[in-house]
Amino acid sequence: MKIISHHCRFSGGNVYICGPDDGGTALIIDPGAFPRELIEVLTFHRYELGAVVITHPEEPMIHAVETIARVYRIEVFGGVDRIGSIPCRNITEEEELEIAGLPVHAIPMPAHSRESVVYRMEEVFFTGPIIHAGTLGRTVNAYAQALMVSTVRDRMARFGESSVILPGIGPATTIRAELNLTPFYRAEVDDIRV
Amino acid sequence: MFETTLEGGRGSDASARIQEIFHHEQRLYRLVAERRSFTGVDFSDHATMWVSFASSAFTSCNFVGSHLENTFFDFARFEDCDFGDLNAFNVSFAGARFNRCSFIGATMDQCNFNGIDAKSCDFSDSSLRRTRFINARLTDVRYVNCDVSGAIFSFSHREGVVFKQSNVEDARL
Repeated sequence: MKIISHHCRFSGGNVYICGPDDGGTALIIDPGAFPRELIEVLTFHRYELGAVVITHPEEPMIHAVETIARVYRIEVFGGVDRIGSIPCRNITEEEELEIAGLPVHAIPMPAHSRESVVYRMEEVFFTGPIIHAGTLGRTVNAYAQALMVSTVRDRMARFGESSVILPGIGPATTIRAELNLTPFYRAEVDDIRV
Repeated sequence: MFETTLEGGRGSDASARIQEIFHHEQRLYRLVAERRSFTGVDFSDHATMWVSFASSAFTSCNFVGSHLENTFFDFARFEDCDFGDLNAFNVSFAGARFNRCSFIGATMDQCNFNGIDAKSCDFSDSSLRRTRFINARLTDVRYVNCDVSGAIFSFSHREGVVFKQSNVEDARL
């Protein structure tokens, strides 16, 4: 599998394209826009989009998904029933899926929001705005934040601390770096020790 | 994504093996080379992609003009290394220690320097857009004429750090 990281200057976020090494059907994660440069990336790698995967639906993403659906025959996966006018396979519990021919492990993150889902492919997590390097995504209260920390520990760290996190915002990181360097996780350890 | 592991055990000197690979290949791809040591290795003008050098030690290594992408140096140690004119994107140096390293003229957009401990390092004339230095300990580090738009330095401990002619108003200090 090949993962192409792309910083979208229109949305300001990261978009990831995953597909076979030698081209074919690919999936796109969190397109905040669907500009010409993304089409060029797809063409360069000989990819055709078969699916859109959403970690957390936001307004610009809805427009992007609707645009992509006009160009490609796609399936959409996320934590909701619809993305704009496009039907979406709603992921409500942890499950193994096959998306665009690729094995994907989906982990809902209700601590972030009811619609939030983290995806794992091989040893890489795609976390959108839910977790990013050195911090956590926004949560509604301290309880939700603590719940998110324990979800990362229980549901993500079990796959190994060398697993990579590719977030929707900012640089790549690893589970090991987050657990050891981000105060949220260390604070929880300190709380337990006290 | 990481398909092969570099020969040799934990803590072994892998310098000769990497040089040998570079003799035949222009890039390292999908490789795990964790907990190794590298001394005087010339990475210049080579590329790495999906490589993990986590917890490795680099002494007097040359990364000038290298192209690094999705490469992980978490908790590594760098001494007297030259990253001048490096081109890095989405590279993680989280928790790494840097001593007397030069990053002059490097492009390191969207890189992860969270939790690093850097002493006597120079990032002058570099591009650090959206790069994070959260919780970093920076001692005698120079950021002269840098593009730090969208960079985050929150909770960093800074002593003798120089931000001159850099667009710090676009960064989060």
